[in-house]
Amino acid sequence: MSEQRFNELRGEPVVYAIDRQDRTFLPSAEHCPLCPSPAAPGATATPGTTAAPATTATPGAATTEIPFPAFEIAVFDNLFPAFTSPHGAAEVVVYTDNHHGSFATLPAERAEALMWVWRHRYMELGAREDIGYVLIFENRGVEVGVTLHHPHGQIYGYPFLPPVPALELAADERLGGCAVCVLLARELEDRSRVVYENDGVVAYVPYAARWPYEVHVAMRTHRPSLLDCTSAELRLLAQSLQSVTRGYEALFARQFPYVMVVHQAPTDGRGWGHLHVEFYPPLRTAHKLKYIAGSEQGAGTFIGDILPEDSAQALREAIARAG
Amino acid sequence: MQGMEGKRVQGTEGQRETCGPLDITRHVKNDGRALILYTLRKREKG
Repeated sequence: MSEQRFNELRGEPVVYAIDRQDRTFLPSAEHCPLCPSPAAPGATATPGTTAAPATTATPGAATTEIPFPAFEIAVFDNLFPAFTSPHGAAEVVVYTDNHHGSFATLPAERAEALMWVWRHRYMELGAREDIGYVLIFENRGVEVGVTLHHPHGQIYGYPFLPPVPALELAADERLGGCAVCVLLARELEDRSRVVYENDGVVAYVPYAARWPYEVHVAMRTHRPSLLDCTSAELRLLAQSLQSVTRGYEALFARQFPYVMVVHQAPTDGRGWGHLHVEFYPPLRTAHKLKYIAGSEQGAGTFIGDILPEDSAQALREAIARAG
Repeated sequence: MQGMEGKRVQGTEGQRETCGPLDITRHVKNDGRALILYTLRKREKG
């Protein structure tokens, strides 16, 4: 059970989930809670049917969070939730039963399937009366606070509209329409910060990026959420996200940490949104981090070390190298 | 909290058609938490 308080000076909610203090922290591969469980003789998962409880792991053997000997994509309620029903939700999305690898190294078919999983979770969580905003995200790398290395992401269902999507709605009003549509049009006209594009999606370093290698991946056509996308668009979105993350890995020829966040329309009936995915990578060089320090924390003003046009050029080349 | 009439997203639990190429299997873990397995349906040959 978490507790929500309102920070009057910042004008924003703060959530305390004190049970998370004891969450699993960087376990070894053999103790990974997101890996499949040892198989019971003859036991198999049966896709397409409803079964409960799941008991196909070896009786008496230690089971993980997923008590099956194999799986493709698994979603479950977080054992250490920041939000719980009837005041929100916190879910874990496991991309694969392979402990090693990352979103970038998933087979294309699996990455596309993940888009459908995101879409389904957005639909189900967004339909709940206690959830006003669905946030799908991935923290990649210990530099951004990852506690489990197994390829996975998370979903928070907030019982309120958080400050960042509220700012996006304010930007819509300020720009007299969909802010992402306006900004995307500017990027396509300028082109100096576009790093990747296909028929459905454009990826660019935004004009006023806060992070050195920040990238926004936006749908070309105004789509409020994953629910509004065609099958082809979901495939193109998966392709673009994999191209960007592979480019990140190629940029400094090392594992590249990032926070990846899916921005969509609020589910409380307010505003309309424009589906786009934002990446916030903390690296400013191969071995130096950009810190949220005095100006960023105390004044809310990011000080950049590299111009977005220059980081875009480097990313374009890295994406080309990654193929 | 806003009422359901204000909800932009409507859905019915378990509707397969909302999952595109995926099959869904729902489970309840021993401690009561939900677990959903998503499996890509095998494409028809031919």
